[in-house]
Amino acid sequence: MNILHTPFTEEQTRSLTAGDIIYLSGSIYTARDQAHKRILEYVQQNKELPFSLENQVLYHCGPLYKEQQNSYTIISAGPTTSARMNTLTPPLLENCSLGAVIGKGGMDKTSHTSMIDKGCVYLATPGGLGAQLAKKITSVYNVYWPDLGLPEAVWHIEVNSFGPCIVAMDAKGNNLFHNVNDTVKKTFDTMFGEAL
Amino acid sequence: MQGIDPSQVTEQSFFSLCCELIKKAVIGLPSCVEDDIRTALQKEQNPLAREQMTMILNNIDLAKKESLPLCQDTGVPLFFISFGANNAHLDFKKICRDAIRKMTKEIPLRPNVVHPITRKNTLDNTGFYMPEIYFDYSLEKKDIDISFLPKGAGAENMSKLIMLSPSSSKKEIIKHIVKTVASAGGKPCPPVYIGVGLGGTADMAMTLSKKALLDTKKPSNDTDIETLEQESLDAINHLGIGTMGLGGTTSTLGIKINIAHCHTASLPLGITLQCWAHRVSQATISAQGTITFHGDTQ
Repeated sequence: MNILHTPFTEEQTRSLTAGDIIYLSGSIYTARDQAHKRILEYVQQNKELPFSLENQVLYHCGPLYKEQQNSYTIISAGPTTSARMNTLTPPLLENCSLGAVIGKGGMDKTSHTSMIDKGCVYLATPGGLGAQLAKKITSVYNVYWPDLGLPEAVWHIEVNSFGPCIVAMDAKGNNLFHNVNDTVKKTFDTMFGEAL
Repeated sequence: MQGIDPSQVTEQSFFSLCCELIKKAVIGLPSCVEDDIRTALQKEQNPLAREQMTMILNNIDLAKKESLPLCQDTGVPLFFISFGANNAHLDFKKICRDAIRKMTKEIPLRPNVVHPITRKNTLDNTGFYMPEIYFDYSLEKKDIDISFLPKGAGAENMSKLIMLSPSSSKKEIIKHIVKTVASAGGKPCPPVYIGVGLGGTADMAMTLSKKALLDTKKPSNDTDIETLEQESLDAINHLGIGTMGLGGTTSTLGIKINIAHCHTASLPLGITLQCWAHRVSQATISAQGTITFHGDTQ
């Protein structure tokens, strides 16, 4: 098991290659659609964020949790569809350097270009692996912006051997999703005589 | 109603059944779905797809063993209830709402239901038309068939409605089904299940496609439909999308097409995608109150 500890250095992330499978230990932050929007609003208004994402790992996830006396236990926490953050990720990366983004389904070329620029990799972890991935979450440090609704809030969590995380889009320009999509497009064209 | 005695099903017994169905649906998968995934793993040539499918099966086992929601997206709540005049005494809408509220707290379910404009979370998975109940009423029916489908957003967001020209060929119908899945790539958590509605009006085609997901193992007994299903299935698996869109032999685990008669000048085509974690629980409760669960792994 190839375990990497967060936060990553740029040297570490740039050394990863598409197809590598890694596991993460350390602290990561979740963020989905509404949290991305709010982060960008704060940046636009020059407001200080209540947390720092610099060199951190961002996990596209809205956890399922049990609440007991003001503390949370996460019981299911698989990835959400990263493509919904396509337009929100490049401006986010303009304002901070992330080490990695974890999600499912991949992201578009513009997002990948921004990631390459910052030495950020996209890690794909299988969708629906909620129960298993939640077992790798050892504590919840904080939940920021609960007014967004807890699934959309920013959860600062500690993970131990979190994965499998497949390096699907590396900082060298390789992109497993785009490779598959190119094949799918060609096959569709052959079958139906038109572009996808 | 003349000559129709109310059944012995009480509000309480139906409420308990709803609660149990909600829990079953989010914690386990129908045995046929697990079998589909195992079969796909046996056929799988791509090492990355094999690794992911193995992890998926491990996750299914873990969720079952520890009664955990296997996926964190416990979806929006959809019920399908078929009943007859003898069960008209039951306030289905209220019972289903109450069951969703209770199980949101208890399992728990992720609070997923928000206002479409303000995005304000209702915190209990109820709201305008939530839960949604698809009713099917036939006067003479004696028992109640109920299905619960917690519909996650990943696959649902890739669903499509296409108002085809009525002169469209069968190949064009297949093309649009294949195109919908191909364009979605890894986003709906493939390998996917595909529900298709063909005919009716626009909304009917989408509803038929949603209901088709409950019937993926039911034979169509219509060679035209079966041909469309098989050719679509083969074409989609030929694309190579694979598990989670990272390549592989299997991109779809099953497809079902439901039809309705339609206007001579229309051909609506509704396509609803469902992820590999095809969570649905189904049961029948007889007029005497006896419950039979369908599709269990146990």
